[in-house]
Amino acid sequence: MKERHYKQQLSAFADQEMNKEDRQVIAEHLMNCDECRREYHDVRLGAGLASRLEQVDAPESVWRGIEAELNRSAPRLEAFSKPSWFSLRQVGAFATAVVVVGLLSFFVYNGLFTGSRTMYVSTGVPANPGPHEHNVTIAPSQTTEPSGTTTANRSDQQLPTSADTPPAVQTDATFFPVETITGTPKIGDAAGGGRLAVGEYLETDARSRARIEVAEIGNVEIAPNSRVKLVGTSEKQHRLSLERGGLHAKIAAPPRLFIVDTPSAAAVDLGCEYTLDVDQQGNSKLNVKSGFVALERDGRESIVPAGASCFTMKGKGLGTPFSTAATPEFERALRNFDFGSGGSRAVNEIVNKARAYDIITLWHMLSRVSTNDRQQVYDALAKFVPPPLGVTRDGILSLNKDQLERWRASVEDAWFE
Amino acid sequence: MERLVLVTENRSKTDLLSRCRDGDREAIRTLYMENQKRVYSIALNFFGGDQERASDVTQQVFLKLLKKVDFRGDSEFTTWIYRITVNQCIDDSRKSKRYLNFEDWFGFAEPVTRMSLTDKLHSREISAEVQAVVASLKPKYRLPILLKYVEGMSYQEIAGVLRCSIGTVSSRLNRGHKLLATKLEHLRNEV
Repeated sequence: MKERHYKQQLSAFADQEMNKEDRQVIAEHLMNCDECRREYHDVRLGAGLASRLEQVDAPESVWRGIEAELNRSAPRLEAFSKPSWFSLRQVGAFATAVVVVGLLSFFVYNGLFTGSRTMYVSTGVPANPGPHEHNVTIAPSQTTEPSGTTTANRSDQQLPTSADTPPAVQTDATFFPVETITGTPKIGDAAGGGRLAVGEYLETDARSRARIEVAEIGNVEIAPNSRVKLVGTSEKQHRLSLERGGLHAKIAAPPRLFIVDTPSAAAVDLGCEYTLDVDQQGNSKLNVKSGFVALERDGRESIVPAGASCFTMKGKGLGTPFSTAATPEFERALRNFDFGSGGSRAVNEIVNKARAYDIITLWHMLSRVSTNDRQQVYDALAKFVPPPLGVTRDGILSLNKDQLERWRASVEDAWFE
Repeated sequence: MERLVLVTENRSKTDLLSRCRDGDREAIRTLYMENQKRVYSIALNFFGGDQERASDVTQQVFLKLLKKVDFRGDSEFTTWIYRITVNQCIDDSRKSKRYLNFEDWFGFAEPVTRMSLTDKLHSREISAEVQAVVASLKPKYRLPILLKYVEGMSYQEIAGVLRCSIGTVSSRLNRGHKLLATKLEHLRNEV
């Protein structure tokens, strides 16, 4: 009968991380097994050496660095401090100010002070104008409301919006600060840094670079020869459009808060740092340095983790993510698969050339290849990352979503190990 | 009861974090002082004693804690902070590996330092050699060793930080110990 050894449990035994009964069994085994005893001595030596590692206090310079960073961003933090910080008196004063501003806006808007508008009542007919309104005409660009419009309806449409709120709030909501790094980047027709408002373009020439501060969530450095537009900014989403050139984004925010459109896909930030380049034809290359970025187009998605890149091609859609350390041959085969007429031959080449760091590519390919080709992709991926419990060959070959997702989690674990 | 203690402790940490994010410098300093040693020590040993990188990682971890990440209270605060530290170390490590051969990432590098016999008599220098060899291990073996021997965590706690099973922790430590023994065989008499 084959003797049982306990080599895998020796660390747990040495560290007393097992119950008394198991310890007893292993202790007895060690007395009689030279092979395991030799291993145990090595484990103990390793543990003894590792015990030499020490805890150390961080140098004071670390705290100074943190403080400096906090001071740099302090004004923005304070601008959004919570109401609980206000004293009652401040709350009262603030509320009064809001009411006064609101009433003033309302009166100004409705012409009580300027007499420039007609008031409507719920009956749908113009109210009797006040004495100050008699000699005032409505400007040509303004139109009277159709009969039947109520005051309430009109108010819903035209009460002051966020664009009418005080400047401090308005500016935070509608532009990003831009800092010139080198040269003279242009915003609209104006040269130099400043503000990039919603709808405006920032352009850099061959000698200029600029940095855009994205709300409170990070910044985006714009490379030379780039053209980027601020599409929109709100609490729920900040969106740029990179028409050409390159950018380097450092974002730390909840997933999907920051998006960059390119002519061939949208790069959706999932909390990360990445570089995005767009060529003259509108094709793009994404390179992720930390975290994850999702590339999306027409309901299709490529999730690109740190250490991976992905191409997109205008008119042809998304490519498959690949490791930045992939061999040129592997990359070439993948590009042929994604954008050429590679078909099964390209799949075959990819599978044959795949190494441990190509697991991200293989996982994405599972749902992008034909049923026949899927089998060999499955085998190639399983070689590096065995399917976890509950994930079956049949499930993957039939593209069971739940199973694909579970395997993806394992692939991710292996990727970051 | 244990669960109640955890909930209470997490609530107080959540409050502290909330105050920190509101800009309360005293709270920020408290959070930093309570955790700087564990964060810095992991980073320092992860990078084989490279103080500059460890400092940078420590700073990044705390800035993340203060500005970006939400602690949901569904795990212990310390587990959560270790997890952020480990991820930051790996991220930072990946950045520097981007232009190197990927085999370096999956394989083993030679120990960073070589020391004379005389020097090895000194405990501190032995520790430095151990630190260098530990830093040369693959992260999957390196991290359990750091959490176990620098932070004194149990296998269960390590499994919580690394999001793997206790069995995985056990087998990785087993392998890690043996690798250390092989690479530092010449120190057998020093231990």
